[in-house]
Amino acid sequence: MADAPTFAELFDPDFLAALQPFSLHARRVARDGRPAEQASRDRGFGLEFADFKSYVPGDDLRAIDWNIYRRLGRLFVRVFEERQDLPVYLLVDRSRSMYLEDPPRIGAGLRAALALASIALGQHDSVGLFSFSGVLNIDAKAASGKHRLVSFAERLAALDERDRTDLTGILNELSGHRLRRGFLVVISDFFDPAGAEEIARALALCRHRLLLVQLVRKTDADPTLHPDLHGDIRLLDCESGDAVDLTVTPATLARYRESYREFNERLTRFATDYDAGLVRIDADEDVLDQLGVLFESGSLVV
Amino acid sequence: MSFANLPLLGVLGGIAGIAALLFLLQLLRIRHVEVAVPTTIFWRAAAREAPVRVLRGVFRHPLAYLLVLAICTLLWLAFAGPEAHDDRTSAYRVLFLDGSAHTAAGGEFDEAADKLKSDLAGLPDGAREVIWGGARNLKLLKAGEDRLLLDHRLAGLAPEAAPSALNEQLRLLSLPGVAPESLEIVIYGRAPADRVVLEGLPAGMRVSRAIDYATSGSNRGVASLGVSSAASGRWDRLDLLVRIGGTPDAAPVEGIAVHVNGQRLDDDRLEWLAADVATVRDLPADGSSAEVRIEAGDELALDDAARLTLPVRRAIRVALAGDLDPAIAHAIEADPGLEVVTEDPSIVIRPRGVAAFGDLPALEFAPAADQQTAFEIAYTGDDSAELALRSSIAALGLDQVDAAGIAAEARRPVGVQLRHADLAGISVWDELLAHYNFTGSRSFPLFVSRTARWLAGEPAWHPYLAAGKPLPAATAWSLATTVDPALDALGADYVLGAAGTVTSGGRAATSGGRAAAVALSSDAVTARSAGTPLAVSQAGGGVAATGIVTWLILAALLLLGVEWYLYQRGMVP
Repeated sequence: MADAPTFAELFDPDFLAALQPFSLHARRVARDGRPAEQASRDRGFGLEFADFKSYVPGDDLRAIDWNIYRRLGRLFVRVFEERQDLPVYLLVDRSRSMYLEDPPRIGAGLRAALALASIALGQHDSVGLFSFSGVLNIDAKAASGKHRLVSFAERLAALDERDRTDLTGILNELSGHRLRRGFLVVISDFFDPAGAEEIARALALCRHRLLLVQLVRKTDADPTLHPDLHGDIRLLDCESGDAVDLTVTPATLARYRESYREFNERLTRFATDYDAGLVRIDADEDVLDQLGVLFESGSLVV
Repeated sequence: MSFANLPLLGVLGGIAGIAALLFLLQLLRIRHVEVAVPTTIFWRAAAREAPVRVLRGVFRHPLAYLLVLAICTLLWLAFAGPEAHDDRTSAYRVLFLDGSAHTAAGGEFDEAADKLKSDLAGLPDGAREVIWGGARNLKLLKAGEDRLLLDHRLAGLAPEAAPSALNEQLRLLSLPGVAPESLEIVIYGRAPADRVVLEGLPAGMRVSRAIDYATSGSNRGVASLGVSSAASGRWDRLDLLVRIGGTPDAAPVEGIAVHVNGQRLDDDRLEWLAADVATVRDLPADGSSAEVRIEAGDELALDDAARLTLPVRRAIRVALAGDLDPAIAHAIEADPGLEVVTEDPSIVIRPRGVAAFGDLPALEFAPAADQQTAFEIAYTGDDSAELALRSSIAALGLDQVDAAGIAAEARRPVGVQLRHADLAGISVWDELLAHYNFTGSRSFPLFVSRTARWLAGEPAWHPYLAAGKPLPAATAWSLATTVDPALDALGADYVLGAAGTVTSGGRAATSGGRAAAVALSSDAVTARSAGTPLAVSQAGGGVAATGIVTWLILAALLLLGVEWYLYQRGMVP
C-alpha cells in the first residue's frame, strides 16, 4: 500500500492559490441556511428586491413602500431575496482500493476534496466532511468560514485506510441523515462490489445536488499497460482478498474492457439523467488541471 | 519414405514420446503470478467466459491438444530429415559428369556441374556416387561421402581434349557384380551414349541425361589427322592428311595453318583433295611435330587444332658380301628404303660361309644339302616359337612365296624352321635362287625388302595418333615387327586418353622414338554428336529432403498461425 499525502503535501499554498478564480454558484439553496452569498428561496432582508406583499402587523415598517400607499392608499412592503450558504458535503472514499498502487488514488481524491472545500469555504458556504469505506464517518459537520480550511485539511490528511467499499450502503445511510439539502460530492473509485447499477440506484435516492468525482488511472481502461497483467496470473482483490485465476488473453482483455466500459457508461448515464456532475480524475495526472474542467467559466453552477 | 537423420523406428518412437510428454505436461499445474488489484469485479466475467489457462486445461480442449501435437510432430519430422523416393529415385545413382571435349563448348560444363551439385543435394549420401568422365574416369565422390567434398574436388577440373569415356564406363557398370541391380546413371554433359552399349545394359540399369541438349551450336574441327608414305615415292618423306569435320550447319573452313616444329608452312603447300580433305605432301619423316589449326576458331576450341608426331624413316644400310645373285642387288636398288653400302651397314646379305660383317643380322644363302628346310629363321626376343613363326612369316612376306610351285620344281617340301638365337638371321636355300627361279617370282623383291627391314628391326610408326582410339599397329609400309614398348606394355590395345603430348607410366609415350603428340581427331566431338537420345532426368533425387523439411516447417508455421488465430478468437485457451 502506498502512503496518502501528508498535511504538508496536501496543504500546498500554490495549489490553494490556483483555486482563487473558481467559485460555486447554486441556482437556489434550501431554506434555513445561514446568511451567505448563494441565492435562496427565503424572503426577507437582503439586497436583491424580490416582490411586494400586503402589510401585516409585525412587518418591518422600513420595508413599506410609501409611493404605492400614496397612489393606491394601501400598504405594501417590499420583500428581498435572502442570501444564504450552500451546504457542501464531501463524501470521501477511504477504502483500501484508494490506497493501492503508487501514487494512490486517495492522494488525488484528497486534493480534489480540499480544492472544493477551499472554494466553498472561500465564499462562506458551509462544508461537511464524511469519509466512508464499509461504514460512514462524520469527520466534520458542515460549517463555514475560511479559517476552517486549515483544520479541514488536517482532517483530510488524518484519514487513514479502511476496509472494503460499501458505497451503496453508505449512500443509503447518508440519505437517512436529515441533512439540509445541499451539494453532495462523492469522491471515490466507485469500485463497489454491488455494481454500477446499485450505485446509481442509491445515488438517485439522495436529495442533494450531486457531483461524482471518479478516481481512475489508465490501467483501469487498458490493463495491458499494467506491467504485471499478462500471462497466467492470480488477481487478488485488495479489499475482499478474493482471488481470481486468469490467463490474460485477448479474449479476456476484451471481456474486461467491455465490463469496465459498461460500468462507466452506467455512471455517465446516471449523471446525465439526474443532472449530476461527473468528472474523472486520473490519479497519475495533475488534479487541478482535471478539476478545472468543472470550472470552465470560472464558476460551477449546481 | 526414409529419414536422413533418424531411423524409421526412431521417428515413430519420437512421435510417441512427444505425445506422452505432452500428456504428462498436462498433469502439471501452472504457478500463477499474484497481482493485487483495486477490484476484481471487471475480471470475474472474463474469467468465467475464458477459463484460466492451466496446462491440463489446455489439453482438455481436443482441438488445442491436436494442434500442439501436430505442430510438435511436424517439427520432429523436419528434424528427422525425411526423404521421399519414388520407385525410380530409390535406385542407386551414378552421376556421370562429362569432362570430355563434348561438353567443352561455352558454359556447358559449368552448367552441367551446377546441375549436378543441385541434384546432389536431393540425394541420400549412401545411394549415389559421382564419376568424372574426362581422359580418364575418376570417382569424384564415393557413396556415403559428404557432398561438400565435391566443390573441393571439382576445383581445377575442366573439360579435357579427350573423347568421352561414357561408353566404357557404361560397359564397366554393366559388368556383373560391379554395380547394384537397380542403378540409374545420370549424365551431366553432352557425352554421347552408344546405342549398342545402351542395348546391352542390364534390365535394372537406366541411363538418363540431366540436361536436355536439344540443340547445339555450329562447329568445325579437325576430324582426322594422319600421315602416309609420300606419294612422290621418296622414302624419307611423308604426306600429311587432314580432314575437317563439323556440324551440318557449320560454314566451310576458310583457312588452315600447318606448322612443323613450330614453323608455319606456306599456304600453297596445302592441297585440297575435297571440300573437307586436304593434304600436305612431302613432309620430312624426321620425327618433327606437325600441327594443324583452323584459323577461325569457334565455341568449341579443343578440336580446332590437332598435332601429330611425324615418324622417322631412314634408308636401311645393306652390305652385300661374297658372290650373290644379281637379282638381290636389283631388288635392293628397286627399294628406296634400302641402300647398298660398304661401310657401317645395318644388315648384311651374303652366302653362308662368308665371314664379312659377321656380327650383323644377316640374310644368308646356303646349299640345300646343308639346310633341312628352305627357310631357316633365327629370331631374338621372348616370343614363343609359334608366335614368332606366325609373325615372321607375315613380316617376311613368306606367305606371298609360291611355296607349292617351288616344292614341285624341287621335288622336296619347302618349309620354314625357327630357332632362337642371339642375333637375328635368315638362311635360305641357295638353290631357290639358282635353280628354282625364286628370283623370277613376283614375291622375291617383297621377300628381300621385308627381310631387310625385319633384320634391321626398324621401329613401327603410326599413321595417326588420335585420342580415344586404339594405337594402330605397324603399317604395311613400316613392315616392322617390333612395337614401341612404352605404348604396348600390356600387349593390348593401347588407347591414348587425351590430345596433346601423352605419357605412359611416367615415361613419355613415343612414336618412332619421339614424344607422341596426339590429335583429338574425333568425328563425334567435332560433329557435336548427341549419340542415342536419352530420357531427361527429372531431378537428382525426386523430392529433395530439404524440400520436404521446408514444407514441414511451413506447415508447422501455418498451424502456429491457426493456433494464434484461434487463440485470438478465444477458441483455444
